[in-house]
Amino acid sequence: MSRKKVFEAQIEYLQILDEKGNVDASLDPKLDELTLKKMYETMVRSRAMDKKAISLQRQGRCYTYVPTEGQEAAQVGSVMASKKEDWMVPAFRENAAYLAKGVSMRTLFLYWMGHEEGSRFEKDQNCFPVSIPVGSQVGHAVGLAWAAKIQGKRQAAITFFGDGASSEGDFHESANFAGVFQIPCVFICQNNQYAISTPRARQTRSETIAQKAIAYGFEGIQVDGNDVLAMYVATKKALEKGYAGKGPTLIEAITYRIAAHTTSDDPKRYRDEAEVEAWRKKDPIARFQTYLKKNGFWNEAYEKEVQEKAAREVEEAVKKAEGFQANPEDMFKYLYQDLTPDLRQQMQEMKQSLEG
Amino acid sequence: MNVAKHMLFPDVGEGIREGTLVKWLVKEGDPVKEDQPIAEVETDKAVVEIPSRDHGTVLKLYGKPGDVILVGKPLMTVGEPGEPMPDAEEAITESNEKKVEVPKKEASAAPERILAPPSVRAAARKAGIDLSKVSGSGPGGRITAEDLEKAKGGALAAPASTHQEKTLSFDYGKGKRVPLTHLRKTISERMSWSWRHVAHVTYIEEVDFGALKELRGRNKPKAEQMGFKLTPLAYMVKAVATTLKQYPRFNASLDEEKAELILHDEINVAVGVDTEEGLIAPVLKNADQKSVFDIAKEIGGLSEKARARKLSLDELRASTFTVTNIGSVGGVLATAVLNPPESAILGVNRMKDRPVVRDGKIVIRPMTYLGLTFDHRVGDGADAARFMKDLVEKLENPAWMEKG
Repeated sequence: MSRKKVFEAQIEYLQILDEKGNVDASLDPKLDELTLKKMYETMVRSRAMDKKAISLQRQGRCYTYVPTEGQEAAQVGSVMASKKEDWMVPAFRENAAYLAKGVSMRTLFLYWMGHEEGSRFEKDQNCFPVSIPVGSQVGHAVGLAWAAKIQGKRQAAITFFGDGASSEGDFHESANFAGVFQIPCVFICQNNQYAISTPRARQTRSETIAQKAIAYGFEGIQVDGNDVLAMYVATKKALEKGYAGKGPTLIEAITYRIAAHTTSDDPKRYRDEAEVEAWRKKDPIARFQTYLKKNGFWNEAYEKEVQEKAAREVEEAVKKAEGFQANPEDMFKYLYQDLTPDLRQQMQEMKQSLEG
Repeated sequence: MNVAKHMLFPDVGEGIREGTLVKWLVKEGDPVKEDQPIAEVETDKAVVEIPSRDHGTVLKLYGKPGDVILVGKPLMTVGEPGEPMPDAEEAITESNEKKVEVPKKEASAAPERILAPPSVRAAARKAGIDLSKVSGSGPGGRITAEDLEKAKGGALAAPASTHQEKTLSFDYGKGKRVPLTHLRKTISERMSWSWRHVAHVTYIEEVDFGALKELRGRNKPKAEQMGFKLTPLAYMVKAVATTLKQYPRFNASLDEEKAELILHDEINVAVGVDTEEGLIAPVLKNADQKSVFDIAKEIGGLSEKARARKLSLDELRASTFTVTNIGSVGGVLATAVLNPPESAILGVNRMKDRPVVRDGKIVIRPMTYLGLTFDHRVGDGADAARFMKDLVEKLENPAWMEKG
């Protein structure tokens, strides 16, 4: 008979760039100018798109929209650490991740304007469509990564989900499976403090979300999600581990949703303006701008150029998306390889009614 | 030649049908840019800014603040001055254009769609009522539980229907019809509920404000230096909140269904604010734990927000007692209606110099009548009398509030 400790674990927290833009030199990945600027520009583009999309929704030119504001670094840092062949499997607040993957703003606007075409990516873009049912995409990502492993490819999947999804069965089943089969999947939980109106404190009694990985036998790490460099470094390490056959990683990105949950939400009902203000001071773009400036990669002229370019890109993308001629048959086309008889009949009826 | 364009009021939520215009942010004749906010519209509880979809000049704005606007109807016309206006019909066709018409032969074959929530459907099945024969009063003809109850009353005939409220029909005459704003509708619903359900009694007491006036006079300059106005109302709220601690019955709500009184843990005092659009009562949370200065500061902030219609929902709910200043314009006495689900409300009437007897002599004192309106189901006259005696004692001997 005995009583002894059989297991012990700990969770690390990683921050490289603090809120004021000071860098920890020993942790700085020292990326080249081009990469750093692409990170910055992608975040700025995402924010410009956000602003326009909300305005379009209020004008009736776009349906319910999900703003990314505040979470740009968590998405851009991680996607830019991945290879082109790696899969990006999003939830529904991943505009910046799509942009980092090279998806055009036109495609993203098409999605929010209600077109199936907005889920059509270029062949080698390796993105999955927006997934509205909470947590359902996590299993898809594990499947994709498992396939890569079986095929012996040096390829992984990154999947995004929120603090709310970490309470869903989909997440736990997927994490367990990925742990057992050592699947190269990087689980990125963007802990933005709210699952619609449910605060983080009501989500789980666990001290961290990262520690949930421990239960499934793999590594979890907490990262400052508003620090694009920390997200890059943590994801890079997780991906390398995955390629080497050493299994999955859970990254808990601590961040904050600055805007409303969606254009149909009024966050004033469940959170204080003071709290939002406090998080604005931790803005991912502002601190990264300071870092670029200190490294001599940023000046006013560059900023003006980046902002103007983003504004132009937004305008052109809206124009293209609004000029898109939808084919009503698209509604039926993409769920099954071959249409089921009842869907075929419904499609016929719709065509007749449109012609008649 | 170009024709000016209508901008239609879009569905800014998920399936809203209407909103109330709060205010215009542009005027007719103003230049306007794409994405520039043109109006604030209240839908359900949130106020949203509507941006313009076109560049040009505002040729026409439809409706005025307080008007109910319908989704799909024109909100604004934008164009160049002198351009011909599109007519209203055109705007309506525009919104109908995208609708896919159902083929006629099918329309006649298919039964009309019944809109009812599952709970109503289940209740109807249980009662053996065919929902296709019930007319719905909800949005889009949705059948509500109430509609079903009415239909049941009809089916079960006379005895049941005698309990139903009779609706009187009036000849309203020919005057101009003004739709109620959301705020007016809310006040109307809450007040008529209160009037029908609560056993209102008003107990009146008088208070000598002399000592309090002096105290306030001494502290006023200090408050002004700190940047806020020290009002008599702040002292009143402080005294009421402190007194309420000993009278939980008046800081309570009655759950009639369960025959239980809910004694609230917090003392949250709502303060009536008269705004252009009607009465709004923002709430001072935990008023008993706050100083007079803090209360004065907070009331100032809340009143300003109330007038600008910028109060958050949180600042409007969870009140447990209301203080309403009914003497600010004039009058001798007024009785208040309870702010449900509270059990009491204090009406503060006008302060006026009146002759009163002190030590056998007639003297002139600044007197005020206080009216405590309470729910007789919850408390009795003797409770109210004791409450008021304590409150008056605290107001006439205000040294305990000296520190502000």
